Amino acid sequence: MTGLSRRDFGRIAGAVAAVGTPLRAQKSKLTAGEILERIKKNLGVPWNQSSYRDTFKAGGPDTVVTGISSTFMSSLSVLQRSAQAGLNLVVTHEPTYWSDRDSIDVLQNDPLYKLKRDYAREHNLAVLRLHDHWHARVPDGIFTGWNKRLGWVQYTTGDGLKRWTLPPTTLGELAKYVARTLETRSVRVIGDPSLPVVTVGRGSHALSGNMEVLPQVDCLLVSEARESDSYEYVRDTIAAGARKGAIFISHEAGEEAGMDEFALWIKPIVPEVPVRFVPTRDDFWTA
Amino acid sequence: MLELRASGLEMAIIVQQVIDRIQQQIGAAWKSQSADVFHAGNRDSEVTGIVTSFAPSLDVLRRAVAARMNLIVSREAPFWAAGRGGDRSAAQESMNHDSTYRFKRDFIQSNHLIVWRFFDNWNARKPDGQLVGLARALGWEKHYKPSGGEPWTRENGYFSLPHATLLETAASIKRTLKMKSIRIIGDPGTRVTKAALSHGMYQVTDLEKHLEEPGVDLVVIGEPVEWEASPYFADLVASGQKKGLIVLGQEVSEEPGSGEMANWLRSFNQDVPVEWIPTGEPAWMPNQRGGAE
Repeated sequence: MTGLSRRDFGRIAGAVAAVGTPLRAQKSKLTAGEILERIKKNLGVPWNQSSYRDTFKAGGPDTVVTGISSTFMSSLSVLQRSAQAGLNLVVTHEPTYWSDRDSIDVLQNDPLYKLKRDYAREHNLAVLRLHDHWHARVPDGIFTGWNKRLGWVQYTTGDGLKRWTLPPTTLGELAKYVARTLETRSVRVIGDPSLPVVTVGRGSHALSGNMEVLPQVDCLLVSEARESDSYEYVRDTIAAGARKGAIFISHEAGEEAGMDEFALWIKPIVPEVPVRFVPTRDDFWTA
Repeated sequence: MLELRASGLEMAIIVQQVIDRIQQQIGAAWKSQSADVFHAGNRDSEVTGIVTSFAPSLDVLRRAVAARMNLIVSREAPFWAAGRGGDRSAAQESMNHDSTYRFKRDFIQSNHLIVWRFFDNWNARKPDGQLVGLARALGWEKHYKPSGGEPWTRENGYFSLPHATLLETAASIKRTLKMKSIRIIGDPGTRVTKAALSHGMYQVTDLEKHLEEPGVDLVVIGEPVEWEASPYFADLVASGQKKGLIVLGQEVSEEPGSGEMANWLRSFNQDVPVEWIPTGEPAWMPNQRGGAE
């Protein structure tokens, strides 16, 4: 009759049935503010009220939530896909308006800002950033999800989720594995592809973090670092004779899986509405 | 010949004289509060040759020493973060513990190299040598279409290109600049005809300005911050605009400017050899092609 699978049919039938359920209707009055309170209560770390990051960037506590979308960055594409899927609370790890502080005062005459703001309004979207607190969770929510995605949970060493002892590989093979597993197209590598790699450490956006990690490992793995300092530091370290390598991945590839983890975490806390991980994906491709 | 050489030696110039000449020739009021400072060496040293480069990398320094040239004039700083703001004393403390830092510092000292950063004042010069150099390297001079105002300034880098798709244009740029790690945002099939060309770090405010220029459908830049200009561009594409962004990388976008700088320095330093030693692109990609869906 149609291309619908049995599972699709079940889902639609369930949705139709739910409309008539008074309990369901009552629970659909759940607000973004109530969901934020549940996040705070269940997070296991105190909420920092002075965080400028973890606040609403669109909509607000009063927005009635039809579903939750969890993502790395509330890009326009993510807002569009979330709205289409009926998920109007977008929980994002990164900014909405292209600066860490989501500074909209400098964007008042920017047509793209207006378009994005209006899109969120017209689709009754609330956007909540969850950066500092998802990192502050013990263990760090971002790196928990990211280790799972890479399949590296069993290789973590030391005091956290940012050092690994891997089965022996090479820099070139490792870079390919990372690109394939994280489905990212913009991996950049410094070093000899045949360099043997066993120990890997995750660096940071800032040079200081990379200067701390590189001496201790065969290969540095960094999610977005500045080229004029971190790239040159790695290059000089290799030129000085150290047998090292570095793999630079996009910011998105370095953290996206941690918001997949957030979707898994929040599901049992907010059983009333659907929750889905909506990937931001790597915007870059190469030629 | 011998006499000439002898007289050449007598007329030896010192580092500070080269800096003085630069200040005289720059054609703009000299900014003394700037990033343009000595990072190593003695300004009273005799100059054996001037090397320009994007970064005074260890490799560039070695090649300078091999060529017996001791004054390095670079766009970036030798110890990476220095001169970039932030807590300098804390940075210096961690530097002293770092073996790469010590190795490089000792190499510079034992070879009596002088490293002088030339950034802010070079940027203030008109025309913008970085833009001119990059346009020449791309073979785009003939396509230059300034938007009123003063030509060859940083904010006036517009080019009317032969019609092609974003993918074709990116592939052509990659080939021309002999690149290893080009990154692109936009639909590969988008037709692009007018480019805004930039170099170095690229901010959202730069992008807003470029997008106000009528007809710009391609933006070619050095390096974006991945929570600022590049997601802005991805949102622009998601909003339905048929435009493309090509990210060259910091070194690729800035290096040709060091070639321009060498030409300029040579024009008023005829008593010492001047050479551009390109730093080279730092990174390679494991997937040399692909990703274009």
